[in-house]
Amino acid sequence: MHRKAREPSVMTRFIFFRTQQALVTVFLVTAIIFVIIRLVGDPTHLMLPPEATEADRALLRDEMGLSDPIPIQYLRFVGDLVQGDMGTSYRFRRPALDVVMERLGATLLLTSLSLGVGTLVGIPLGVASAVRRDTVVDILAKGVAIFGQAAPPFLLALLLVRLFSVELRWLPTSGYGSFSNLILPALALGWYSAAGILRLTRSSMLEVLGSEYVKMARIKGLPAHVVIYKHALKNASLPVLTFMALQFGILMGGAVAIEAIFAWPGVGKLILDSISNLDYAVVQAAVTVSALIFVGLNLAVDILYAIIDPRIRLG
Amino acid sequence: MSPLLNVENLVTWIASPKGVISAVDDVSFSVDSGRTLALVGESGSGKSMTCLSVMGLLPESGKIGAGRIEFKGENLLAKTPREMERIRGSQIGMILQDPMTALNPLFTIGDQVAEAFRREKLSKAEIRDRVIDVLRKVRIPAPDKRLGAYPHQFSGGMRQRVAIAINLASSPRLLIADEPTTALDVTVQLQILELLRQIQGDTGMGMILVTHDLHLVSRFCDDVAIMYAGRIVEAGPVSKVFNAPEHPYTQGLLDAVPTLDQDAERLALIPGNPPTMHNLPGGCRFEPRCPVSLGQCASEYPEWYRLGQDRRVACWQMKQRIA
Repeated sequence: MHRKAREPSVMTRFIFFRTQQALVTVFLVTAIIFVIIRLVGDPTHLMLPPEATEADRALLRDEMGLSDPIPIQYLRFVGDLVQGDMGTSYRFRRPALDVVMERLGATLLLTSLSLGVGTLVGIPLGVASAVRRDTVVDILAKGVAIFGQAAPPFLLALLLVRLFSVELRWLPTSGYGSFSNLILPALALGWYSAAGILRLTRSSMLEVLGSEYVKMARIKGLPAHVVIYKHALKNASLPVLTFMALQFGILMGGAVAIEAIFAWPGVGKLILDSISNLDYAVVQAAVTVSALIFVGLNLAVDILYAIIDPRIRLG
Repeated sequence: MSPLLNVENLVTWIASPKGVISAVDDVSFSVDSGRTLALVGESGSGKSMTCLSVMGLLPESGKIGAGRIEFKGENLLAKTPREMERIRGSQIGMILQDPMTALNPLFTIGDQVAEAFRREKLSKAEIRDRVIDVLRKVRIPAPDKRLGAYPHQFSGGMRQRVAIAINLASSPRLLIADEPTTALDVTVQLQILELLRQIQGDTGMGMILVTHDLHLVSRFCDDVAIMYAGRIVEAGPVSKVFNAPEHPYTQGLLDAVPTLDQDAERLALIPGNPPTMHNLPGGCRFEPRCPVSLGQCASEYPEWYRLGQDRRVACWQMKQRIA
């Protein structure tokens, strides 16, 4: 009874603590990108015609608040940020957040589908290759993993386009809007994701399968599938979960190249374009939103971890 | 009456990067219901591999090369993996050395004990009652309140009690205890062994106790088999073997046990180290360390010499003694 009454408060404190950490991370990320983008160049050069005078530019900089010291600018940015205002894009003449959110759906669709492909391929293959170590299954799985990790996603993408679009003419080379447009980019990015998940699942399973509690489960006379999927996989899944959350961030980064190849209207492409146009507001908004998603996902995994592993929850 | 467990000329191979070794070499022993056999030997002498061979739980690198393992008259080596699952779940149990790692950290105590009842078709409430019952048998206080607890909330001794409870769930006829108390405090050690002895008294199960603690052997076991470098060198009833050890290795082991009334400042010890399993001596494996080695010891492994009904010694010294 006593334990039941105490448990939620421990969990609540845990979540509160981790949320604080997550917010600090997001602010650090925004501060870094805020400074770096200002080192890249002055947007007034691009916004005004070449014949504009230095005085004209100074006037525009004042208007945009760019003549203040960077710490002051950053404080103003944070002040606006907590009210949900991420500034206005000079290119789109609209709130930067709106511009980013319009493109976010396409990127999230691509990355989550890729992670889905990675999970559905990586975990079962990883388990099978650990359980049947040194058999044909294991060798095949190793092949899938090595190819997925050695070949960068954009190269895979080009090979897939060559095979399925150019040779076989089954799928479109690029575009956005239908499911058939989604298959190749998700496969290219998903293969890369599967490779990492597979390798980590395999090594994690091998370690767990050699543990004493797995031996104990077999001593109990439990059938092999219960030993593998209940006792071993639950333990082996903990590091894989953390890895998947980290990988989601990597996939969002990898999506930049994939989006460019498949003309996919996502955030990655938007960030690239906005950096070359020195559209500060959009870059800041896109990075802030990406950081929030990444940190939020890691927070969710931490909480999931605590739900799965009682030693973290109660310890 | 045939013994509960009869192991004959068992050979178990282990593949290692340096080559295949015979971790268990020509080992024979038997265990009767209601009796406890001690398997004694140094680390790496093949005790654990012998037990895992009986359980059908050798690691992937292990393989039984020869011999017979008969349990209740049936040859376990001829069983399929599924038949062995059933036998492990209902007839033969095993307690592992380290209770801190033998329970799955992610499942409750109640769940892990309940799994041992899964072969019986019982309702959830019935299983719960059986779990509480078996936890009470191993003297876990207030078992009904501990079902939802996780292993990390239990001490080592309590976890070993849970491991015993898991094994008792299926009322095994044979329980193998592989150094069940090595990782525990001395006082807890005795409690656990007393518990096992009491359970044995109630159920009449046969037991194998793997240990290197000779005090525990004399206190809790009926028979003893001394192992050295994969082979049994001497076996028989504990009282007879300990009162009059015949094999030089057994004598060395017993001399090395400290006693309270000893005046010697230093303990006796057996000079040298056990051979590595990759490079075994051609004859008796103890010969390089043996104080009474004979000419033929280095080249020929000794035959078994029987002393009465129930004792045997593998030592060439016995040839002259008996002749």
